[in-house]
Amino acid sequence: MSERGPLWRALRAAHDRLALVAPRAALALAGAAGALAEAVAPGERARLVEGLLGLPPGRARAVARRVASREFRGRALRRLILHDGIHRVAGLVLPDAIRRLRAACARRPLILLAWHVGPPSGVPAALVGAGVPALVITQGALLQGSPLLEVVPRKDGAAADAYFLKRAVERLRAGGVLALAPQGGGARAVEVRLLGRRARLRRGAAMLARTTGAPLLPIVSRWARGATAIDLVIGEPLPRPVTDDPVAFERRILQSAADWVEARMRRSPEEIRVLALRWLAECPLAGGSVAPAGRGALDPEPAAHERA
Amino acid sequence: MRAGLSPMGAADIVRQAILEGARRGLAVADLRDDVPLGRGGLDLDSVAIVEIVLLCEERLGVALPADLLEPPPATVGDLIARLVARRP
Repeated sequence: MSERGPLWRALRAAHDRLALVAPRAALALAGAAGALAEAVAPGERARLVEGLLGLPPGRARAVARRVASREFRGRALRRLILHDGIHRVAGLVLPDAIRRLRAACARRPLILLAWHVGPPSGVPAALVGAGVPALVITQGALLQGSPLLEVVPRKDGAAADAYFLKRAVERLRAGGVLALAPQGGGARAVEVRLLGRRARLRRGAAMLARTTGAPLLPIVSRWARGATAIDLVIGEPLPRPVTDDPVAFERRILQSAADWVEARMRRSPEEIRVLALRWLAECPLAGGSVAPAGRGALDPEPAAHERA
Repeated sequence: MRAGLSPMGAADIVRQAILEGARRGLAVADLRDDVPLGRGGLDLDSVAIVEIVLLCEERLGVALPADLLEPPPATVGDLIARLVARRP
């Protein structure tokens, strides 16, 4: 059964409706469907996992099934958010994760560097669950509507993005919490090593840390309890590079961030979202041979990746 | 806030900030008013534009709100005009 066929679309529509009334059941069902789809008609996931993580084919296929399972669960989550708002997903975040996030956010200002790993919008949902007001820089209108989250949607254009970055500076100077995810690409991006690739990350998060003095706290969400609940992995604040050179500062702190998330990715490869896998696979190899130039980012919304 | 700063003086401060924010070894002569900030011009990204604004805040001694960047400034002259307008 093709993931693009009419029967599949009908099943997805039925599942979307189920997600609204019984989200945990819908997540479990979505996960099973994703794993089944990958088992019956293997797609690119196994190849990407094998190539990026150097796993043997059998293990890569097993990871790919779990990636697919989570991808389908992620779709169900997005549907929930679009229909009912982010607070609905906040109810899926484990209480212990919420407590840890609340404790981490007691130190302000703070920049939460939330990579595109794990359940989509898991970190913003946890912020809502923790009652932590935050400025969230994201794409699209998925998170609009929460009284706790001031959402600044990214725009398509470098100069347009300057507006939200300045807003972020103001928020941090006022002792606030900012959440954003590193974006890939761009002419002035900083190159880091990530999973054996030369990945280019936009330097916005690093600039904000440098100019405001706010610590960068790496964080990812992950599926828990049979992938029907959301947990958080919260790191330690990244070490602040001791240098007066802004270029060196940005390169070092973003490499620290990449090292942290690489450790997470290697420990739980099934949590890497498939679009992040695609983007990384297109990045040049760190060893010297060059893969096709990528346009993407560690981001689930590929449409906005072409900004200068 | 630096009292008594002339428009020309403020513009010079902004131009110097643009030179530093661009990180490309540009000269003042490269900063004609009609030069685009982005593609086809200085090729500044959003981060560089904010860095320039932060430098100007520090040197002009005035808070420059984010609203100054909405709608986005298109050219060198546009950015200078917006920032200089906020001088004392």
